Amino acid sequence: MKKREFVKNCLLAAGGMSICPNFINGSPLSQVNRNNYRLALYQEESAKGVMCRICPNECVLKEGELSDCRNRIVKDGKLYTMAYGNPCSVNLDPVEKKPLYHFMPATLTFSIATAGCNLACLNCQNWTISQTSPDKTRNTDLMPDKVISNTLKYKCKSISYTYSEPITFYEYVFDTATLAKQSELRNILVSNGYINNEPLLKLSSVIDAANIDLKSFNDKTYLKLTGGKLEPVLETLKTLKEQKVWLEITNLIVPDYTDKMDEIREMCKWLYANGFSDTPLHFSRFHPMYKLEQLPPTPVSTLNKAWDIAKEEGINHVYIGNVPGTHASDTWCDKCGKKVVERVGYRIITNNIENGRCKFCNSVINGVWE
Amino acid sequence: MYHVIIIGIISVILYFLTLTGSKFGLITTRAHRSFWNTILLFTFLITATAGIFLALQSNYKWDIEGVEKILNWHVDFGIALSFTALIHLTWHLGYFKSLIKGSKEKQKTYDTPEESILPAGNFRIMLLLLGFISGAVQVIFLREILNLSGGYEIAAGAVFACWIIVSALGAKLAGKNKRTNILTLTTILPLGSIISFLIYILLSKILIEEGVTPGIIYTLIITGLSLIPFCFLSGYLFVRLSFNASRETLLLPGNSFAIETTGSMLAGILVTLFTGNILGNFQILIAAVLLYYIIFLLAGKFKFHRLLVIIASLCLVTVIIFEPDTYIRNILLSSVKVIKSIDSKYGNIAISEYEGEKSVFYDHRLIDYEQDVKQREENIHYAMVQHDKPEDILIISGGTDKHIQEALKYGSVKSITYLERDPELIACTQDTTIEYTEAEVFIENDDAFNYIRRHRKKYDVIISLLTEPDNIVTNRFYTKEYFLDIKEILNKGGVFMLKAGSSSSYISEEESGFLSTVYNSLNDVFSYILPIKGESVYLLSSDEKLKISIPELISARGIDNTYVNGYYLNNEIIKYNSDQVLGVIDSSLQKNLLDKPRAVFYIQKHQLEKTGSNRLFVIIVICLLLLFPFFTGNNSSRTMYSTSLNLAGTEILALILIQSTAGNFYQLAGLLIAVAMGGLAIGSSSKLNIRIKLVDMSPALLGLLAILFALLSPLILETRYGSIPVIISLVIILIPAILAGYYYRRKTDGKINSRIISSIYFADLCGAALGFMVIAGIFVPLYGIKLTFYILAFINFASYITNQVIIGIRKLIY
Repeated sequence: MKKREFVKNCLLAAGGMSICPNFINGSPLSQVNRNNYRLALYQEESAKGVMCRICPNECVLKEGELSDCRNRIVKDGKLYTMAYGNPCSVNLDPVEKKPLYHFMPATLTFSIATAGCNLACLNCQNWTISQTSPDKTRNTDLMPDKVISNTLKYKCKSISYTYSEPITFYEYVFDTATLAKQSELRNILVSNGYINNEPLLKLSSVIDAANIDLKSFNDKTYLKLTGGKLEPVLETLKTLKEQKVWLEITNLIVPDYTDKMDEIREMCKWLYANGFSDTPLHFSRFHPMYKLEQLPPTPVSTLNKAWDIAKEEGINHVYIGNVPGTHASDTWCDKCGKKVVERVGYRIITNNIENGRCKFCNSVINGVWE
Repeated sequence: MYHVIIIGIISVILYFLTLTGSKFGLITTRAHRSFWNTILLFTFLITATAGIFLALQSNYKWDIEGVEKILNWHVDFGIALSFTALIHLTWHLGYFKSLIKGSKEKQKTYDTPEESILPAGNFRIMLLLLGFISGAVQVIFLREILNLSGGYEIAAGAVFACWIIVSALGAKLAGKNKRTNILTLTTILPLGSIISFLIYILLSKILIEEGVTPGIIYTLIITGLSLIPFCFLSGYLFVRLSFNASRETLLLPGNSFAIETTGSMLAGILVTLFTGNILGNFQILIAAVLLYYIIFLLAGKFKFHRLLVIIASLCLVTVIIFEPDTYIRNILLSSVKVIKSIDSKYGNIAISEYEGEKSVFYDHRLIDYEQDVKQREENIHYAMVQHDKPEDILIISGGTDKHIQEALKYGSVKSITYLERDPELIACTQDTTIEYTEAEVFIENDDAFNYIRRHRKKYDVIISLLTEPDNIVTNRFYTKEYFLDIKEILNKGGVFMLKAGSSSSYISEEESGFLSTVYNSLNDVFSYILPIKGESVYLLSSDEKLKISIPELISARGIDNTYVNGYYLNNEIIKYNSDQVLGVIDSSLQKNLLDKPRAVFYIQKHQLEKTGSNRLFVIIVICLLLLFPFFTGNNSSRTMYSTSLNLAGTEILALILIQSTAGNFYQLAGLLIAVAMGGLAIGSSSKLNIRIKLVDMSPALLGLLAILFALLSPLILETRYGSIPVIISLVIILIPAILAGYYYRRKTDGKINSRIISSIYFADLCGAALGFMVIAGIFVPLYGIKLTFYILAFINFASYITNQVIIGIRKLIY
């Protein structure tokens, strides 16, 4: 074979491969399992395709195209979710692990997640399910009614939609949460908060508590770290508060990305100014994960400084997570200053809250305590 | 997203490289300009075509599949077109100036410089120096690139392939270029290595976000661009030196090859000797460059050479005293403040600090840090609490004091042996001021594989905290053979625990494959296996029943833990998670064995998934590039290609055999590489004149040898200790190396033709690259050692038969 012929053949082959995105990406659409398809909510037809309006990404998809979150697809001109009744992660967790400290303490929560996420965080600890689609994961057949029965079977008091991103399996969350309410089970959303207002309002009607990740208070950092934007998350926080969904906020402090004290102070100032002074704020310790492998873990001193700043800026309930043995896992009454809940790990050692009030001074301690 | 910065940087770097090449006569000015004219045309055509397409689509509302992709191409190629156009503008600036000024400029001529001839004896010295500097730079550069991308075989193979491809391109071009200023090129060659490293540092800072591990595509881009200044030049220079030496001093190309490989061998030996906290990587690199110049100046006797030698020597002493490595490591690992950088025999250790907290990075990955309560307690207590009265404990790697202190919480403990292969790592994680009085503590510096086979002391609890097996070296510690050895040194009722990867809410297909293959190997050895999911997945094994009620056990023993206790752990959840792990175990999957390292395959796949790299696509692209000389060369090239592929593959297999038996990989790897280089040198300098027809049968002979080695390999693996497996492995390397060297010599003998020399050398390099990559990265993990030897035999026979068929057809036609 002459050199020119060899090069020509290689270029032809490469050209063929590049036209066939499935070869490059390794995900032939024909293998998608249609059994878990459900007609997606919040879709809108447009000239360029079908728009999904669940989250600010607002993907416009053509026939057979997958969404950015990898679990919505257009078939026959309609948008379908592929993430329904097929969670890939099913676990039992103490509710404090979400983390939720002021919501049904010392109970177990039945946690589920399907594959897919609408962000792409460099440090995602659940990347094996968030950065893929339901047709590539090993799933459990767990329709909403089975979720309820399993939750009751394992004596859990609540269901958590967590791990990957529940916004992307919206329909599954909504239907399951609706059924759960009928069984007097509570519903917890652990989310990045990257959702449009209208679907959030509807979801809020069935969600009892939420832990929202406020990943950074800088738009540039948000984009660099997650691929998303800050503003929609802030709107989500406000909406959840207005809808009286019990809310707790998590801020993971990533060295070199989100550990600047002035930004943390700005975040706390914003939270205070917007009425979140009684919303528990959790500062969490980062460990090298996923693509962010060449960073150190968050120094405990940094977490302590963040804690101090939050207290200075008027946030009443501040906690430090991922640091066993930390002093900052107890709840204090913001009126009389006494310890109302002593926690070690996921256990409540002492509980001085009665009917949602401090036993010592009778002032209200915000939360859902039963 | 449009790739403005990446395209801009690549364009600028490529331009300066081709410009420099044309200035130094590596390529003609015409070739330099033709290249950029072609790029201009190519980018223009794609930009314009895509633009017209988009315009029509917008005007007529065509519903076109992939229109966003076309837009991306239009913009990205437009960016490339813009940069190329700017380059062209600089060429024609004079013309436009003259249009404005109205004066005529003299047409520039681009004469290539006259060739300058080295004094007769200097060719040997230049070849030796070329081999020396190439060998030194290769070892150090590979180490640094692997820090960036992660040290697994596919990444290593891809990096190595990049190295050889760029060198091969230089060699190929050297065959076509008749005029070269050799003296200038040999003078600037070591500077090429410094420039390569500077480009590497620049690209890794610009293209990669802080703290991020790049995917394989980015690794290849960074590697490829960084290597161009040095590798291209070294490949080019070898062919030119070889050709000129044969023309002017009658030094045969085979002998040139022998001298060059001897230089590489010397470099390999010296680098091996001086690593291990004697000199850092960058110290060695700069020292190698300065040593090169000292010898070069002494040999050349240039003007002021004595003064320059003195200056170079003083610089050498300065570099040795003042340790530039910590400073450079701070640039590479800029997320922390590196206090000390140590290059041990096994890797780079960076002791660093961030906001007052100390952490230790090993090959740029975090291995030790302060306030790691969860990790240290899980690492020890899940295993310790299983035993009723643990007295003798063995901890393998993971960090000294913190784990010893956890183990000492058990009052029954009488002795703790901590085993670590890397002595520098022991020094970093040990506090020498601590004196243990509760029990005897032994810190042993040895390879665990070797240690367990040699020492007969028995233990109650053995805890292995080694990292997951992302390469064949670490795979040994996850094999059935290793587990059998472990069991032999466990007391009755003893417990063995190993760390089996990180833990998350979902166990992926690759993680499941890895867990299954390791679990199945453990299952063959122990009666009970219990997986515990903590921050990592822990596999506990014993011949006694294991208990899952960890919190109760801890409480009953009165162990004062911060995390591994009933406050954080819950029996129900532990059991649920344990069942989840057991639920993904596929008992039909092959066990992980020394000669069939299946675990590596899954872990590498997992790593590639993490960085979003499509393994198959990358492998296909690299293989196509490397198969180029096989399909386009003549019979001699094809034979050289398959001979080199065989040699490279045999080297890898011999390395695996050594480390699986003798265990001490790094110290013996240097010897093995020296033997390989020595074999090449012997073969290529041999004065034997075997009939050429027999020489052409060398692939068939190598094929037979590969079959013999395949049959021998199980016997070698079963040999536990002694020097026998080492000797056999060295012989396995030596014979193909001699044959490869001899074949090179015979095929370049009497051929004072730089094209032939470059063609053979090019085929040699490409064959070696493919051999290293596919053997280590694909065949061994998938098929095991024995079958891979058979595959090598098949490749050699196929090459021989192909050649014979082509010769036969030609005879028939002509």
